[in-house]
Amino acid sequence: MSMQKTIDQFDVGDVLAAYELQVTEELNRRYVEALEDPHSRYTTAQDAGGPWVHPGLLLSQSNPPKCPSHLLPDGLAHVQARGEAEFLKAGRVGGTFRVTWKVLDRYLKRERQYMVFDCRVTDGGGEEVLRRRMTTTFVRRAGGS
Amino acid sequence: MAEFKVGQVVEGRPRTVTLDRMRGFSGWPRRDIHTDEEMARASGLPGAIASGTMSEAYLVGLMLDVFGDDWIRHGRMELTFIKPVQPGDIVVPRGRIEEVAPGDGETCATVAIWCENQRGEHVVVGTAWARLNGSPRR
Repeated sequence: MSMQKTIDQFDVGDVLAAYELQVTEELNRRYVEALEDPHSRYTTAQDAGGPWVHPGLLLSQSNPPKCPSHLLPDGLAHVQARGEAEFLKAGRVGGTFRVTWKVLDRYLKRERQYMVFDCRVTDGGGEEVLRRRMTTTFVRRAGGS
Repeated sequence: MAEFKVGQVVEGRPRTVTLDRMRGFSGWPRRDIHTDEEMARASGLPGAIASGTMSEAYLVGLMLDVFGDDWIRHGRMELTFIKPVQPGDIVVPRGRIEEVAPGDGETCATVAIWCENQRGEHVVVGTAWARLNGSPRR
């Protein structure tokens, strides 16, 4: 029986499973409401490209736990430590986006494990919308091994 | 484009963080420390904590409001998440322009950015950069 790797078992250089996401009006609205940010750029066509996908949606959907390979080991929860983001263009509602992740680094600091991920979001035309470098760590759940 | 001065302080709207909004952001019914109080407590946290990305998104909104929509084509930020945000917290995104420097045919602003809770505590701190003449990088 094969056991799926947990996220802490991936090594530097490993490319994780990619994820495809279609951003509907409804999904975009969920983020606009959660962030209390009802700006017209997210609801009304700004130009031929249509309303923008809320950047918070793309940030959230490119967080490492959204990766299909991000299986947590028993008893651990994931916490963000640092983040870098570079925005390259506006995503558009109705579009499909591909999110990819790669392990850039992993290290121990004060007995806590950290992992650094390169995250990229690309639109349906193959153009990069967002580049991120996320550093994450883990906290132990009660009763976890 | 508006004129920016070193030392200028910018501020976004206060946001009231609720468990419903945290769940909307983090994808309820997915259960994790951002959506489920019990799971968060079992992880040694005082209760569910908002995804740090919510504060990051508030700061992106502030940068767009200050520097205009073109920021989405060249904006950059670096952040360190230092304190959890919980339901009931009121979070305000803020920034202070640290440098406005010309170079290579463009002017770039460096902005110290942070989000603060209702107790005046910083929950996330970092730096953002904006190109004031706004041309896309590629």
